[in-house]
Amino acid sequence: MLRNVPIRRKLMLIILLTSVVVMLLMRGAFFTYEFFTFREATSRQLSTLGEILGSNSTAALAFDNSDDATDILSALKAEQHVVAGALYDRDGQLFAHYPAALPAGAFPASPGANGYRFADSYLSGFQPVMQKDHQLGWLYLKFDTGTVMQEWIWGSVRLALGIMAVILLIAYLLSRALQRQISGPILALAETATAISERRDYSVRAPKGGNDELGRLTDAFNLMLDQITQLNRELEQRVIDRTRQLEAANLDLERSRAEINSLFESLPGLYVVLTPDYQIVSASDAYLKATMTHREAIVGRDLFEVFPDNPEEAGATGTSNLRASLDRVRQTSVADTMAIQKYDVRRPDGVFEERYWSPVNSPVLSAKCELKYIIHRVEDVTDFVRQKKGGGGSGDMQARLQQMEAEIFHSSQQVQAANQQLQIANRELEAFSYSVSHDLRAPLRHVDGFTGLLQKHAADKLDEKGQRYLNTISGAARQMGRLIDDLLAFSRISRSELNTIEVDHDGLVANVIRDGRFERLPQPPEWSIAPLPRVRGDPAMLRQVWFNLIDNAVKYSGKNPHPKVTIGTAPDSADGEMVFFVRDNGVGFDMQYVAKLFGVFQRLHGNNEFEGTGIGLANVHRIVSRHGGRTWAEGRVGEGAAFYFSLPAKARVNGPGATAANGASSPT
Amino acid sequence: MASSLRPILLAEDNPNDVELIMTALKEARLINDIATASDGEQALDYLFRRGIHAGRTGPQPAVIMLDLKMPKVDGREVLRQIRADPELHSIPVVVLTSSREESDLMQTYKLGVNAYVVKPVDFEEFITAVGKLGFFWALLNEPPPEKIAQP
Amino acid sequence: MAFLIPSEGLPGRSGRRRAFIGALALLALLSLRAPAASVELAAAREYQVKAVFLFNFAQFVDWPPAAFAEPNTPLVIGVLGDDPFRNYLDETVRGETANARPIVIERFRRVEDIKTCHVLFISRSETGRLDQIFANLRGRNILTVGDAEGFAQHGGMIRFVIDNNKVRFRINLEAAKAANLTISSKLLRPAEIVAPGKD
Repeated sequence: MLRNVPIRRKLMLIILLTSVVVMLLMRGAFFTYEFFTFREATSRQLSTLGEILGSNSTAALAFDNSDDATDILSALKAEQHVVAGALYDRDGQLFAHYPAALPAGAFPASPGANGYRFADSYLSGFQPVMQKDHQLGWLYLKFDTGTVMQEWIWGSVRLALGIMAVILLIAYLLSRALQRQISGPILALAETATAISERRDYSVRAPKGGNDELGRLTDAFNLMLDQITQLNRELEQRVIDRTRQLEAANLDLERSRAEINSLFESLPGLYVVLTPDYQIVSASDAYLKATMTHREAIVGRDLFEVFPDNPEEAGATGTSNLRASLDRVRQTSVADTMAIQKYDVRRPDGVFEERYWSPVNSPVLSAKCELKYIIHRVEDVTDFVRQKKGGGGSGDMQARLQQMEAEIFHSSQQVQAANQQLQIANRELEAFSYSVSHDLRAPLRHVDGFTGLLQKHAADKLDEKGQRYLNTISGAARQMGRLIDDLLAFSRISRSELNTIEVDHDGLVANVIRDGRFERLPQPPEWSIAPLPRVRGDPAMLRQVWFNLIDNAVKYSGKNPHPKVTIGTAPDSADGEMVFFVRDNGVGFDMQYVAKLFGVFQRLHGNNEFEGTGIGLANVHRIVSRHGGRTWAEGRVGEGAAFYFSLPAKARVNGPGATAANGASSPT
Repeated sequence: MASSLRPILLAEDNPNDVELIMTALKEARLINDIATASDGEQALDYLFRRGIHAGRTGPQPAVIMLDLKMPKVDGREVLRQIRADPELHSIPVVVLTSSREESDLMQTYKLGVNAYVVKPVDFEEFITAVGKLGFFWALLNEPPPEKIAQP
Repeated sequence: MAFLIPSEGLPGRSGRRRAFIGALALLALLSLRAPAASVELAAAREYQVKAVFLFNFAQFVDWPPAAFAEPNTPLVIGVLGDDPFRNYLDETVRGETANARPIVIERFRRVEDIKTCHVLFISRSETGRLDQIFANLRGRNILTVGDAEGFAQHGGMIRFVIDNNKVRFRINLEAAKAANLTISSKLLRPAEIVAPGKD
């Protein structure tokens, strides 16, 4: 509870308390001493009084004058604390007493031993009355010590209180003066500490009083502050140094960036760096010069906003071709080389100049294979093309060359136009196949549904033939439904995007075999499966590849009494692809029809022999192609078949199938 | 079992499909009433008790069987309005469609469909599938409690 | 806190006189009714008291050194004339001392017989010869005590009186001084001082 009291007050309290305790102890000792002294003195004084009284009453005793004796004893009235006195004669008979009014029975009947004793808050006793050496009788006195003691104690207490008040006052004044010696430096120290913690000013120093422990404490505190200040200074210096270093490093970085920039800008070629949404990030000086623009005018702007088609040329294809190429780069992350383009450039005065370009668009990918930039590189081939167009050569050879190149340009222009149309047709085809699959399925379903209803409804009215017709209708409808489903799947494969990850082929194969429920067949095949490597690809699509191949193998080996399906990898070919195969000991095929195997609706066996839509292997081919791989097959009639497909082992998975329409690019 | 008497709403524009589905449900011996709507607008009118269904007093359906491709208002829009309505949003909706397209699947699941079923071409399969659906959603499934007191 | 020492001059002289008058009346009543035997007995008791008083006087009186030949010279209490004390006096002093001196009782027929004496009781039988006796004793250090009428008038030092049926005495200080005796002031408290020539 004293913990939060200021030191100043604590010190004063300690001093005052000590004073009070010392004083109380001393007063206690004094009191005890005085108590006994008082009793002794009282006893002695009473004895003296007795002597005097006795001496005065000798004659009264000697001459039997009790009136006189009573008279003498009545002098005790002056002694208010003597409550009783009596004289006894030689024979021990009560001779006279005080107070006279008290009955004789109130006094001791006969004298006792000499001397005064304390009993019950009274001091009483006898003493002989002597005349010379002759005893004449006894004197009895009774003294009320209780009252006296009470008065004396009260006096004592009052005195003690008075003294205590004086001592406390002195102690208070003294302690007030003295505590400054101790609390002064401590308070100064505390104030300094508070000032530092509040203002964070480490230059403050605590004032020093003397050379005692507090002085040393102050010294240590100030020393600590010195060290903190020193440390702060060092820290600040270090921060300044670090900042300077950082600034220098930044400057270096800036310089090297500027250097790289200027390097890039000074490249002799014509380069533009684009964001994935075709905003211009940077351009080389040569490019600026060739396009008659300034860097400030184009950086940060949209490419096609900066370079629009020539409005005076009705059939300008420059922007549309470039955009198509850039879109391909964005979709496939593969460089796209364009055919020579006519893409006119606007002069500063607003007039367009005829220009021909040979552009290449290549992607810049991040570590996560995301598209960060597209580098658009062009070559100005205007002069070259004009020369060809002009046809004015110096020699015959020259003339032929120019002619050829001009034709090349024109034919590439045509190819490009055809490309565009093909892409549009492709999209239309997709939309068509989507709606067809829906709208075709509904009537098929109704055909089968109502055939079924008819079978139920008219079962007893139809003869065997009628029944068979209905079954045929129903079977045909179902077959067509399957065809539509497979066609849909096939088109979906072409349209949907590849999601490539590292694929666990062991897992895929095991999964396909489990889901295929081949063990339920009357002749389940014997499996021989080698461990398969992990290769990147789209797992959903690759699962379809494995399903089609394994389903085929099981189906075509179904007629063998000991069907066997072997799955494994063939040794890598030279260009880093991984080759997988599925082999069976089924009916096999004639190698002269091998080219037909992977085409849509191509079947080597009749429907009554083996069920199927003729789309499974086409799907396999399409999926593997989209992964950048190949498909092929080996077989011999009656001796089984082996189907192979390859996937790029390390390279990124590309989508050549999707860019098949790009005539100018050559994938192989 | 008042809840088992709640009707099934069938929204299907193709009368052939309607007949096949009705047959399938009958085969499954469902005793629920079956209300039909031949387009999305009619389905919404039924659910919101307006237009030709103004003053309809029966309870809301135990399940809605919804075709995606419908004239006027297509199945997606019907589904969106059902899920947006505080009274209707918890009614189970089963999409019955010819489309196996991934985009259709994704879209309808995002809108909160309870089941997505491609109508099989095979009649037997169709009968089984629709019968099972009806049985599950109209009988087995405990629908959310009817909120509006019936007059 | 001093004790007050009782001083001289306590009130009561007049009170004692009133008591004295009352006592006389009582004594008169008693004597009227008392038969002869009881008077006899009262007389015997009276001398018993007087014997003790005689002995006690020795305690309150200082004699000049010349009154005793040697330090252990006995103090002599004499009786002149008919001895009224019978054996009371002897009994009183038996084994007692006065100032460490033994006490001796002597009886004298005539004043001329007195050789050494310190306290002398002069019997009533000598009432007629008092002047002659005192003349004879003049200059000697003898405390004279008697109970006859006019004893002090004639020059006796202490005269017993009966006051309130009690034995009291009167002191003739001049006579004692003349005999070179020092009487303790304490003795003056119970006594009555008589002027010279009075009784």
